[in-house]
Amino acid sequence: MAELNDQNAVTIPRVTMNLFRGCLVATLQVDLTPRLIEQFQRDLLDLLAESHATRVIFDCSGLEIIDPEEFESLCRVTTMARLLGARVVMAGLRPGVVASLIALGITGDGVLTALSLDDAFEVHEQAEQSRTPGKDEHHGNTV
Amino acid sequence: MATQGDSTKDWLDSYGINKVDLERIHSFGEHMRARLPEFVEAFYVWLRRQPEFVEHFSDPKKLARVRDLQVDYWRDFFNAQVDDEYLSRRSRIGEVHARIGLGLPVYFAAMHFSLSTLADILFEGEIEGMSDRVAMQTKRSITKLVHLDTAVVVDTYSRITNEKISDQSRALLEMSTPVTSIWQGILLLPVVGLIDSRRAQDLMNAILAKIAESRSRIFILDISGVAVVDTAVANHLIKITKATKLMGCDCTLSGISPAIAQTVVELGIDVGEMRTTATLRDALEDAFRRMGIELQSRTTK
Repeated sequence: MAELNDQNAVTIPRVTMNLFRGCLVATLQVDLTPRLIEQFQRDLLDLLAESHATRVIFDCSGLEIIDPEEFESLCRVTTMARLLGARVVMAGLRPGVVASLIALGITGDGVLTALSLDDAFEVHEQAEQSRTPGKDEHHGNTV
Repeated sequence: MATQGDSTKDWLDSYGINKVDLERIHSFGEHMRARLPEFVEAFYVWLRRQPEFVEHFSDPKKLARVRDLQVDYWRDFFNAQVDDEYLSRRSRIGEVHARIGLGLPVYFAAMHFSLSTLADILFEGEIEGMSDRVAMQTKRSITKLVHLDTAVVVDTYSRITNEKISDQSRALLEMSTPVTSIWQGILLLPVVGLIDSRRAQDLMNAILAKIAESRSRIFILDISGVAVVDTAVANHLIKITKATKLMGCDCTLSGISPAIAQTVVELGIDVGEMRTTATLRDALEDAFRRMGIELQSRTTK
């Protein structure tokens, strides 16, 4: 079993993250496990601190199932990212995923969302525009 | 005997009809053959007194045709060849009755009338070589087969009626979720009638599927046609708006009447950040503004 712990970083698939015009795009495609999310959280925060990116997009279009716990963990990651000065938009949640999350009592309050990756960039732009001086920084969309 | 499928055997078994019964009916049928027109005539004298008569049999041509069918029916009955074909002929009667809307009560009354007429013939009809004992046994056999016929007819009748009902409710369900794209990127769903949890679920599924398919960023749910908004309905609506939000599509609830606004607040329902407008027009204008669309009348100078 010691072997399992050692090869942690090797066998667990990591979430692909790409910097694209100052925006960090994380493509969530593999099944979310607690370990994977933990790893993803570390990687993302490290990368944010390193790159000073202010825009993050979680591309969820590849996920067929997200259970409420996994969703809550992702939300926690977005809050952590916000503390590092970045805004996270969840993009491409599928109808089936959304229906089951809502049925299981998830409200999705305080989460920025977008239909697709393309839309997510626009949501970022709009959020930045609405963050004019004098206005509350967490205007409208956050917890 | 011709082909007898499993279902035919089941029918015969459940009514306890055996070969002896069928033979008795058949031999009584020999006597009845000549009397059939008279027998059917008596039936129509009875039928004429029923309220359904005017509705279904006022056309003389139709009446004549139905009478011929009636004679055929009893000829078939006294032939006593119960096979798959026989059952499907019976089942067709149920189909016809269901299609024309001839109710079961009158059908039962008719079968009851025929059965008691047959009993009269059996016991008082001076049939040669028919002892009381044989008459009794024949009566029992006939009753069994008449009941089987009736059961087959009722079975088909109720099956067809149920089919009709489920077809209608399916049509109603499809009609009730006409999610339409009214503009590039704007979806509209006018909800009419009552919202229960089942319908709310259907609405949500239809809406989410349509959002994913059309990639719309604004969704307008018009509830001006919703009769009652109570806590349960409001919660369903809130869930729908949250679900669309998770998809990345903004939901506006339009058609909130003053009465609804009052009840919502009085019931202490937390509408959260739900975007609401009084009329569909306001919602549409708001949607256009957010999409950056400007409409201008052509006549304006």
